[in-house]
Amino acid sequence: MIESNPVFVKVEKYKEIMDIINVIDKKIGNVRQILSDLDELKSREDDEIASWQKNIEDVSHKLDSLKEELSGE
Amino acid sequence: MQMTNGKKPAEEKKHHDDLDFFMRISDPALFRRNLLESSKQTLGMIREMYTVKQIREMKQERISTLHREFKEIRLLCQKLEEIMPKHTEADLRKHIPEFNAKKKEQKTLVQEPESAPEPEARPKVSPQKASSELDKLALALNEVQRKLSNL
Repeated sequence: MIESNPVFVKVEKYKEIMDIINVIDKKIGNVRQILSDLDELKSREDDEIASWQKNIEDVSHKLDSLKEELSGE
Repeated sequence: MQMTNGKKPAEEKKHHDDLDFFMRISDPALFRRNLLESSKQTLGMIREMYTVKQIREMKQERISTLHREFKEIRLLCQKLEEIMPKHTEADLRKHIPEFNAKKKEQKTLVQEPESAPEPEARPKVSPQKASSELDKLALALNEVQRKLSNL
């Protein structure tokens, strides 16, 4: 493996590089927050869908009960 | 046709059609409650549809923002790469003794490489045909992979 030698960066470019790195850092923070939001939204959506599944089962049972009543069983 | 009760056949048929039939419901309160609760739950589900629709719109908005952020990060990294100093071949020979030995195998950072080995997983797209966003991304990924392999 080749050992990397130190690189010297001119001061004016150094500031520009550090600025860019800071901006990238900030954007990474934004991305993390967005991913967290997406996770939460996905969880809420999943909860709603699970609620529908439960509700539709309840409705189905009630209708079965009505059918039984009407068929005289 | 013989009339049975003094009425004409059509009238008799109409009479039969008008007869009311009754079904016994042992627990009418429960029956009604089941019906109403079913109706209520169904209405609740329809209302929740709007909630899910809203959630999906919010998700889509976040994903668009994410896409934008990724593109900007990529541009910033490209800019960073342009600003960072590149080594000339002379510098490499001077500072890295192994460079001469491995010169045939390595590609120089200053010159354009001839053809870098492409990883099998990434699709190869010729620059002339790269038109869609995905094709451009594939090209960019290939380029970065090539640069990484040069390190």
